[in-house]
Amino acid sequence: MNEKELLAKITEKFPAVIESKPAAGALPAFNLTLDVPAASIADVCAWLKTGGLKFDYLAALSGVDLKDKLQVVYHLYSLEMKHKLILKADLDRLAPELPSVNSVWQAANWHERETYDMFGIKFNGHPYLERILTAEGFEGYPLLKDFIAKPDQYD
Amino acid sequence: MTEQIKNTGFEEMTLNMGPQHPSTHGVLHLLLKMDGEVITEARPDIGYLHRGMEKLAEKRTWGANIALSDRWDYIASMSNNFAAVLGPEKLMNITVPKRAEYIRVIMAELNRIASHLIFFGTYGIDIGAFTPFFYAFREREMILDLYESVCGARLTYNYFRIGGVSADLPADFVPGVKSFIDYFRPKLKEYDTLLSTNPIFMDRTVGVGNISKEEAIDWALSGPNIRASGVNFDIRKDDAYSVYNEFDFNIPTGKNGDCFDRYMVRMNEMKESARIIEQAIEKLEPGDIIAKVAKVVRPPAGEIYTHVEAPKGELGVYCISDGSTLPYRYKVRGPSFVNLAILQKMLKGLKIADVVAVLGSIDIVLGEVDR
Amino acid sequence: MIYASQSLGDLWAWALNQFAVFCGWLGIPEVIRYTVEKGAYAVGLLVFISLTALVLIYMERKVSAHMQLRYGPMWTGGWHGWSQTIADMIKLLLKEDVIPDKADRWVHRIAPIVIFVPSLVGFLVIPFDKYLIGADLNVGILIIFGFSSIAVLSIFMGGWASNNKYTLLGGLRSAAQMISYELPLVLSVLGVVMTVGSLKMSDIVMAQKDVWFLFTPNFLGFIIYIIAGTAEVNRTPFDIPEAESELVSGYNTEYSGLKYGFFMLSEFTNTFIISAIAATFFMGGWNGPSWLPGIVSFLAKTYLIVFLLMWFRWTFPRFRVDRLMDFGWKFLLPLSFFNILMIAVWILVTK
Repeated sequence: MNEKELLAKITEKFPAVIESKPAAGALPAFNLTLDVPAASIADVCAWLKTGGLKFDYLAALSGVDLKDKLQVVYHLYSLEMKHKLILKADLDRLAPELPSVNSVWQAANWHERETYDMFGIKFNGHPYLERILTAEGFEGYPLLKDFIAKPDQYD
Repeated sequence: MTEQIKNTGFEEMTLNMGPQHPSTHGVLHLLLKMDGEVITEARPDIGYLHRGMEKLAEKRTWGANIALSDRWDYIASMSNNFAAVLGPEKLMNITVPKRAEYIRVIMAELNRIASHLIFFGTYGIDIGAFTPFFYAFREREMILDLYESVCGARLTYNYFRIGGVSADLPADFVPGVKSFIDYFRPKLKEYDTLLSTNPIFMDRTVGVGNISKEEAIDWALSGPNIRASGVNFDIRKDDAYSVYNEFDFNIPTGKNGDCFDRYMVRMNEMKESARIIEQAIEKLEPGDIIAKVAKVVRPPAGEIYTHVEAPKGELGVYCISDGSTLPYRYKVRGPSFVNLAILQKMLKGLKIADVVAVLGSIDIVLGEVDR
Repeated sequence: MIYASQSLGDLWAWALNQFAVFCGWLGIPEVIRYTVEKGAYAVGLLVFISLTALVLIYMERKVSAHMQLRYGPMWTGGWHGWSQTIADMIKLLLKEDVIPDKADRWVHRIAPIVIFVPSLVGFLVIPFDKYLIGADLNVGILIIFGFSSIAVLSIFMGGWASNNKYTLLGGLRSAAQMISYELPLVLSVLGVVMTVGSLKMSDIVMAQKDVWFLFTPNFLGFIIYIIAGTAEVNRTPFDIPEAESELVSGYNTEYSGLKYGFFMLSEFTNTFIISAIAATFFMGGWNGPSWLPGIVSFLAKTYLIVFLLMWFRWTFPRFRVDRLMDFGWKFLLPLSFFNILMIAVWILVTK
């Protein structure tokens, strides 16, 4: 199934999902990339997994700080049909939250915790959304571009 | 707690396994709730080795990030180098010289053998047999000597460059690799007699820590862990990068997804890696080892997710470039991090002796889990 | 009278004889004579035990090293690091004696002493040579097994008193393990006892003057004994009470200095006792070629078994605790019953 058919199938089911356009002067995307409204990301993902397209493998889930907004990027892969898909969900920088996809792929569990830890993005419906990598009592979200690293006691 | 004892007559014990413990492979902290020796709840607590690699990467040039990548999975640094160079190369559309590609493959596969040897040795210790460790390190030492002759380092190689590799092979490298392969093949049989066919070892590993096919996919396991569950997923075949499509090799898979299958998949993978190295050496021809690339690269704005089949599994790098010398975002998808997540589910109902068997069979490196 | 003595045992017997003559001449009471005799033997035994422990620890290091492509200690003392264990003992003596904050202090202190008692008592009834035996009791072997049960108590004391979850688990495991492996251990020896018809150690040795029990149907008993004996002294593949990769160091995690030294010492002396009993019961004890002093022949056999145990340790992985129980109760115990039955039939047929 090539990318056009894939895009057609997905947009037929979810009209709100559109192909994302690279920023001005940037390279075109290497794989099919879709913009998904943040609120419907869990529904879209659930359908992608069970609805015939069989995106059963969540390769990576990353947060991105684009300065004016935050973004969560899902790299999906289908082990059976061997096609790839990238989903992007834009979030408000001040109150970033979106539904968790932990119920779709268990693999999202730690990915989402990490993204929460690094960007402060809240994943609603996550069973145990706690900081995972940073130390206990750590303040701030280190991967945000405006994060100022304070010297710690060892510096 | 006293209430619980009054009501049921039993007390649940909370055991902190790690971060200082002989067999948590570094500084993993497992919070175990136990009923006697049986685990009722397990929660891995990670982050003791968190160095903020992704933040550091945003402050380093694309080239300098290769040196940083050595520190992710520090026992398979060549594979990390591989993952670190693929992204910028694809963004800049660089064609890597053929000789460099073959050298990269030889290095990555040697590294796979070295990493699996460490797994073999430490897994023996986890199960209680100390001797295999030394046998594994005897062979690993030879690989490290080969590496040292090429790039001067034995652990953090920093050998790959954007567009090629940093130095050509010394004259005695190819004969050295050949003699190593000839030496190594019979040793694999020795390992089988030493550990693989030992009844006690089988008793400890067969049927322990089963991961079904569906679970393995659901938790996005990768590498030997998902292949042991019967899923034939190997990035070298499925999404061939570099020159892997030119080689003839098999993907060993397991059936039951238990500890023994994960162990055997790795042992068989070493054989296949030896085959790949032999083929790559045959194809090695004189030529350039690095494409004409500026010292400090400025990839055009854009983004890409590249992944390689590291010894532990799918090592992915999601890089976003804004056209400057520094990456805008540099996300590392460490296979150990993803593979470790399933532990909290697997450990339920197992005994404390199985914890080390299961944890060892997943084969994690904390440097990559915490990054 | 002095006769050409080849053996330490003969020498000892001669010395006792001379001493008795001497006492009779001076008119020293029997009680004092007896006390001095046994006291001298006990002192000799203590020296022997300490030396044995040193040798065994050194041996374990060398054996393990050469199995693992290493050399082991090479420098301390000059020749092949012969004094490494002595240096280690001095280090252990000088180390701080740590008692955990919330430990049960007295139990914690007593446990290492308790574990050493059975190791000492065991040596009393082992026949090193023809006359070289502390007390040739008519219940000889029972004494050893009876006292070795105390070791469980000590390990459990140590595990409990340290107030640490790992030591507690180690203590519990060892209690379960040592009690369940004591049965096959005793039952495997029963075959020999039935054949000889006596529990007395010297009788058992004398009965093997012509052929070792190892080469009779008691061979099965020997196998069971070695397996159960390995479990009894907590060595790999049955080292689950210590289980380094699981329980850090098991029951002795919280011990340091001299107290830890006692635990370690007792492990090695117990290994020696188990091997010595194997040599006595199945390999003819001090019987051997006439040109070889009895004690040399005995020690050679004992160290052969010790080497076997070390070989096990550095080759095999560790059992899991529940499989260990299965193996003990469901396989080894029925097998030892079968062994007894077989020996009984054999005795019926041959006599």
